[in-house]
Amino acid sequence: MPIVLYQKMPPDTTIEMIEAVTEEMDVRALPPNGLIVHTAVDIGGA
Amino acid sequence: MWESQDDWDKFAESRLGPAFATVAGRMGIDLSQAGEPETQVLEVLKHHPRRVTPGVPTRIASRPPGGCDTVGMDGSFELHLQRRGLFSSERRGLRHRPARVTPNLSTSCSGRSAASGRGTAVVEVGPGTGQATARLLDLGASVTASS
Repeated sequence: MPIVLYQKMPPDTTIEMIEAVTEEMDVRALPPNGLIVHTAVDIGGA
Repeated sequence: MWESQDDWDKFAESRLGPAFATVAGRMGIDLSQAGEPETQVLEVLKHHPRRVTPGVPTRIASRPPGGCDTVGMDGSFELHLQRRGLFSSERRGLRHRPARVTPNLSTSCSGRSAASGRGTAVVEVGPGTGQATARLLDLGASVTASS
């Protein structure tokens, strides 16, 4: 069954870190099995 | 959005976790001192067990042919449009936002349709009152919307 996963990261997590993790996984060349769509947004943190 | 909870679990364990650890080490961040993310998991069809048969699309007869299948809605898209009146942005005097993205949608859907002979598969996250959904259907897309 499809799921929608929502995660609110800890305040210390930065967009730069999210982007670095994305690059580390190389998701564009190796898309995760079962991923339909993903998005991330900065809603303002500490 | 994931095809299953299992897919997410495997990804988190085998790729996301190790990648976070690598990046944290590179940035000098001690993950043991960092908080945990707040996580919510919603099963897409969980709350509509009588409305849909998982994996079996419902044909919306009131839209033109060429890719107007939906899953997760009861019989009539027109009924959904009527319900929009309860939350309508038009009623509140707000701008009809989908008009601003229509050129991009039109290019994508018409291009794919012409190439493949069937509707473009679209996942719409947060369809709201269905304004963009209606435009996508009019353009011949096959829309899976999750609200």
